Amino acid sequence: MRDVVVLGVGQSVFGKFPERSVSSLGCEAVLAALDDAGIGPRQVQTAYSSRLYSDMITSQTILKEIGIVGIEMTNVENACAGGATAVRQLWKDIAGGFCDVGIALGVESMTTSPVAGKLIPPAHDDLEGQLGMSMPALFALMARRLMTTQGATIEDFAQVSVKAHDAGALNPYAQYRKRLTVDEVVGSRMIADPITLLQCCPNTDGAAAIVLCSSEFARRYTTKLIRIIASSLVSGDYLFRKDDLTTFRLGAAAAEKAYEMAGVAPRDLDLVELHDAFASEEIMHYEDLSLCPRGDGVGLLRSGATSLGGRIPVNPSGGLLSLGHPLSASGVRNICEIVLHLRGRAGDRQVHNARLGLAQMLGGAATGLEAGAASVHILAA
Amino acid sequence: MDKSRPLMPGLFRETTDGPVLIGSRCEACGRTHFPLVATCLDCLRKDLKEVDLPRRGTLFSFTTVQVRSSNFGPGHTVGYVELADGVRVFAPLVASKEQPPEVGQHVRLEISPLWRVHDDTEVIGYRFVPELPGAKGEASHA
Ligand SMILES: [Zn+2]
Repeated sequence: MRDVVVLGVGQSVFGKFPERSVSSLGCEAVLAALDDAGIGPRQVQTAYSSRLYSDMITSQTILKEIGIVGIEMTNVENACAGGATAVRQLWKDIAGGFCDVGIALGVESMTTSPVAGKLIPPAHDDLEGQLGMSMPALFALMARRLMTTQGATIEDFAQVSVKAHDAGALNPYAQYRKRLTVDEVVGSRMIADPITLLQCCPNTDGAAAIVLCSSEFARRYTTKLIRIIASSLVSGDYLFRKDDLTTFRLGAAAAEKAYEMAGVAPRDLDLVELHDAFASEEIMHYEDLSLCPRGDGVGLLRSGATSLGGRIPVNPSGGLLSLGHPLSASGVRNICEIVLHLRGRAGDRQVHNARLGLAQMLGGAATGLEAGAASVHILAA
Repeated sequence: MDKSRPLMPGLFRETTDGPVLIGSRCEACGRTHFPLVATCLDCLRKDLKEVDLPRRGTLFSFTTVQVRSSNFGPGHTVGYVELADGVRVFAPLVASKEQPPEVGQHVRLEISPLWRVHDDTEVIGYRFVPELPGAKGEASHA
């Protein structure tokens, strides 16, 4: 396998833009990534785009606007892990020598999607979906188990959101650049107890794009190579294999594969970006990513280690909670965030001397499965 | 008379002891699945027997969702119930202010109209209701 280098990253603004087309959001991110890479549209050899809602040939409809046509284009969907899946497919193409440079894009227009203003449901004919399962319900049921078995409190969950917004306030791309207090989060409108409104990520429109290439190609443009040294993608296991609801087995499996591939240990990481669509899940991901021993997720949060300036900052971008969550874009965006830190270009939220970072994404729900997909990427400067 | 239809065929049935969910027990590995499966999802053998699942269980987790979801308005409660044979089932729960749900609470299966579809057909499904304190003795033969 060949080394895979990140040559450019870019994103659109994140927010609620019902008047903007998917194409305009996507082009904004792609043009930013190409500009950051220093290459032109005609140099792109392959493209992967991810989008959950809900039209055909996303890559083609976006890239035609900026002169990219007649190349291999693939469109993928993997719920909230879709963007990370697109990056992984491109990573495989370059690692495998199938192309030298390509672009991966995640884009979503939630305000114009069929689920605008609604809870995100499983597939329309899913049994549990019909019986009231939704993303907030699933994460609320898991959060309740964290409270029952590990002594987590609603204040702990609120603290995750407070931490995210403290970081997001420093990120010019965040949808909500506003600090919050634990009391404000706990006191906000109840969505699915114990989850209140300010423990939920907003539904957001936006796009993020990343240019990957071989190291040979990269050397023509830069001397500072940021490599993706591990990439993993694991689909959800049966729910009946799980003793409790306080872990994502697929997330732990994806992390284990990535650590092995990268030849690094969790304690080597300088920063982590992860799926925090709901505040409580972050605590489970700490354990699944082995940032702390099993059962000590609440303790790790309370120690402050995962805050900006702590031992292992988690979601220094502000996370989905403050940035907003354009579903398929988030998995590309959080890999781009790691790149900014490894370059030392993350502005006020920069993690000092970051050399090694991990980006995780998780998504999807279906009757009988614990979740849909989990993906982990590890990047090194 | 109102029209009605089951949510899906083969999910539940009435017995002389009351309604039950229908599962598949794998005779090879002993795993019970709900809903019915054609192949054991654990050991992949096809040596399956249709079984009535226990009517009673305990509440494993719950939440009251304050936003409209697919078929329910704001304020609907859902949860996972662990049946007496260990099978975990996601279902709507009957809850009230007077009887708020609680992890570990004893619950019992009920077959009931759950919602109406556009042509006014009632959709019949399953849900769990709290056991009345007096009915505890009954739980032993579930
Ligand atoms: Zn079996």
